[in-house]
Order: sequence, then structure tokens, then C-alpha cells
Amino acid sequence: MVSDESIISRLHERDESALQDIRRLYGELCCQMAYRILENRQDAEECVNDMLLAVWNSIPPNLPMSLQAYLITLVRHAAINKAKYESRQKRGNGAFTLALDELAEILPSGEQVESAVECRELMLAMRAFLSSLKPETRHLFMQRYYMAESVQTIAKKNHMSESAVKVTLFRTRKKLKEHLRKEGLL
Amino acid sequence: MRPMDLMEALGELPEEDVAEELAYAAPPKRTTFLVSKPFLTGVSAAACLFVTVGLGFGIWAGQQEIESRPPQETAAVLQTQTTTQTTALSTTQTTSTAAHFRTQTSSGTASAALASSTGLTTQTTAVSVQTRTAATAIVSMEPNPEPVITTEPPMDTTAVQLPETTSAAPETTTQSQTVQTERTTRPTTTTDPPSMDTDPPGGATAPVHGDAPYPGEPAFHTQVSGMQWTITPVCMGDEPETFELPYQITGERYRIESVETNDSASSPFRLYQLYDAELGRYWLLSQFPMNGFSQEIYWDSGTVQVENLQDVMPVAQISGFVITYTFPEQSPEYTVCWTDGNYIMVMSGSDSRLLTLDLPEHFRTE
Repeated sequence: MVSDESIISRLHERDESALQDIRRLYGELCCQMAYRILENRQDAEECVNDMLLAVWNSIPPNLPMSLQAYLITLVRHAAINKAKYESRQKRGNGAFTLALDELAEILPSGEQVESAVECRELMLAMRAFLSSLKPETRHLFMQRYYMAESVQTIAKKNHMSESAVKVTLFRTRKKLKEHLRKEGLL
Repeated sequence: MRPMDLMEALGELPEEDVAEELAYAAPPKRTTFLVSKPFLTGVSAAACLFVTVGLGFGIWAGQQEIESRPPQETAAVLQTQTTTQTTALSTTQTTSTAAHFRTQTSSGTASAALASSTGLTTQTTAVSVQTRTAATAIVSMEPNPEPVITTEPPMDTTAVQLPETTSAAPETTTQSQTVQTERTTRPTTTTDPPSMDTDPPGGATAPVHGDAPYPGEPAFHTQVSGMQWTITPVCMGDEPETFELPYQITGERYRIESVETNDSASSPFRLYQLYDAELGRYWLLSQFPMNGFSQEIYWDSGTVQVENLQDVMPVAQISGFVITYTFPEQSPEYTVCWTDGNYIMVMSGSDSRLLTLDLPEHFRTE
């Protein structure tokens, strides 16, 4: 059994076998993550490759505390970047697209957040908002809008009914809207 | 701001936040019931059916029992009547003139105390009895069953008339009248009917001749020497068996005590009808808790005052022969007493489930 510490250690030693272990251990997880956003298996695998390249380039110097979270963040970032590009070409109908639509309900304007400062402020606001939620609610929110999982999957994982998940997410979105408004971001 | 911006902002969350989220363990699935839901539904339905059938059978059996009683018995004492009306011991009409009093009770098992001070002649007064779910039990305390009781068969099983001596014209209360009781003139200690020409002590009442003791329930008969009373406790809105019967009459003060056996304090109404056969007068005492300490008290005549255990309080409201008084919460023990100058009756209790009616010794008519 290969541990995360071993993989990170070998990455620091520039041992390429660490990438093979990452693909073997976390490849499918990352691919699914990207697939939920992109709805295309080939694009998802491209994102996984991009993620592996980013890992190779960022470790070292980075020393992730959680390799899984680090990989998920990277692949998600890659997938979203790709989705932004793809969205100009076509519009999907998957869980991620629906999640975007749900978030669009609480966002009155379509102006893009351009500056890094604004993006940073938004991240901090989101973080504060998430910390204010109950763990169960935060988990549902993150599963839906971070992991881009479908409502059905979330309900199954959390032993809840779909309607209960939808209601919880709806209320959480309302709270988010209120929170963003208080923060002056809306 | 676009939704994608929010998604990107989420992607910027620190690694520890994401790690924490990934490590989050969903709460365990709720354990399944050992008994399946359809089974529970079936059991519930069966229970409901059982209760419904039981209630229906109970009502039917009660009606059969009432119908099977001989007319005399029905006419004499025990009357159980169920109607659907919700008028609860409400109206106690009293017409008070210089010549007579007339009390008419349109609901609750109530025999009226008819009082006349002058020019009384024997007439027949119909007494209306109406209860919603009322059980009437008359406790007769007659040490000497000497009085000749003539009970004529009622014209109608539901109509029994009570002859009495008043100057008032015969009046039958017709509002939802369900039971009328016919009573014959009943001498008490003498063979002659009580003279109506003489004002009774107190001057406010005139004899009303009572009915025969209830023959069907020997347990209800309590003999107290020197007394000839008929006491009628009525439970309304409650099953009769929620009271421990008979009401006990003990001691010098002739305490009539009623203790509910159930815990729900669901009896909203009690009525006691005391009949002084010596003087031929009725005392109609009822207790109608509106809530925990609110009482509605009916009486036939006299001065009424309500007091708790600490001090005498004025009557909150008097309307005709109805007194309504709300007992303060801090003094759940209460005593109600009223007098017409000769008699004092005291009713005391600690809460709505315990009612004690103290009859002072001088209430006796010797």
C-alpha cells in the first residue's frame, strides 16, 4: 500500500513513479470529478493529465497536507478552465451545468469577476459562508457545488431523499445570496 | 458575478477546507424498523377499527340498558340521556316575582327549585332535563321510607312530570327537552303534603316534593337519620364511571365527596341536586369548571358568596341564579358557600378533580 507521504516524498525526489501511483490511486476519482464538470470522458482525461503535470510542476516546492484534496483542487481547476472555454462553444446538460444554473438564480448580474482581488474577496466570502453552515449542510453544499455531484448521488450518499437535498440546497443558496449581499458582492 | 465565478471561488478554497470536506463522513443510515411499515399501518387500522366498533357497541349497549329499564325506574331516578346538542348546562332561567320563584333549567339534568312565597297552589311543573352525555344519579337519603309515593306512569317514557306547589302556571321548557320527570306529591314527615301556605324558613322557598329513591342502585342509598334528602350528582361530558360512586355522605357535615378516577380532569361539569324532603325544596348545586379554577355555580335562592380558604371574596358575576367565579390560580383550594338565611352549603375542593360538598349540620331539617 502506497501512502500519500511516500508519493509526496518521491515527488520531491523527482521520481516519476509517484505520478503513476497518483494515477493508479486517484486517477479515477479525479477523472470523475472532471467528467462531472465537462461531461466528456476525453476532456476529463485531458484534465487528469493536466492535473498530473501541475502536480509535477508544483511539488516541490508545495507540500500538500492532503494529497487527495490537492489533486481534487487541481483537477477541478483544470476542468473549470476547460468548461469556461467549452461553454463558449456549447452548453451541456449535466450536473455541473445544472449547478451553475442553480447558482445563477441568486446572482442578479452577469458581470464577470475580473480582477484577482475580486476573486480573492469572493473566495474569502465563500469561505466565511461555508464556515457559518452546519457541517451537514456544508457537506451537501460542497458536494453539489464543489464536487459537482448530482442531487441523486448526494441523496444516496447521505441517505436522504432527493427532495430533502433540494430543499436544503435551496435554503443554503438563499443564505448564500444574503451573505454575498451583506458582503457587498452582489 | 457569474455562477462560474462562484465555482472558481470555491476552487480557491484552502486545501484544508477541501480535505476536511473530503474526510466528512455522512451520518450513518437510519436503522430500519424491525417491523415493516405496512405491518404498522395494518395494526393501526385494526386498532382504529376495534375502537370504533367498541364505541359503537358501547353506545348501543347503553341505549339498550336505558330502554330496558322499567318506566318507574326511569321516572324515578336514573336517567341517562345522550343527545348531540352542545348546550351545556347553560340556561337557568329564573323568574322572580313577588309571588314566586321559578327556576327553569334548560340543560343539564336539572330539576328546578320552585319557590313560592305566597298563594301557592299545587300545580304541575315540568322539569326539563337535557344533557349532552349526561348521567344522572340520584342519591336518596331517606331513613324513613314512610312517605307514600305515588308515581303515575308517565305519558311518555321521556316525559315525567313533577307536581309541585307553586303559583306559577305549568311550564314546560321546550328547548331541546329530552326528559321530563313526573313526580307526585310526596309528604315527608306527615301524610299531608307540605303546606305551601306557610313560608318556609328563609322566606324564599316553597316546598317542592321530591321523587322516590332510586330503586335500581342500592349502593346509592345512604340513610342518614333525621334527613330526607335526595341528592343528585350529575356528570356531564364524562362517562359516569369516571366517578367513584356512590358519593359518600359521612360525618356530621355530611360531606359529599367525588373523586375522579381518571387523570384527565375531563369532567367539565358536575351538578348536585339536593332535595330537602322535609321542606320540600331543592338545592341545585352545580359546578362547571370553565378551566382550571373557573367555576359556574347554580343555586336556587339565597345569598351567595364565594370564598377561598384565605378570605371571602365577592362574587364575580351573578346573573339570575348563575354565579360565575374564577378562582385565582394561587389558591387552588376553594370553598364556595351560599346561604338563604337558613341554610349554608359549602363546597370545597382542591382542584377540578376533587370536589367536596360539605353540608353543615344545620342544613338538616329536624
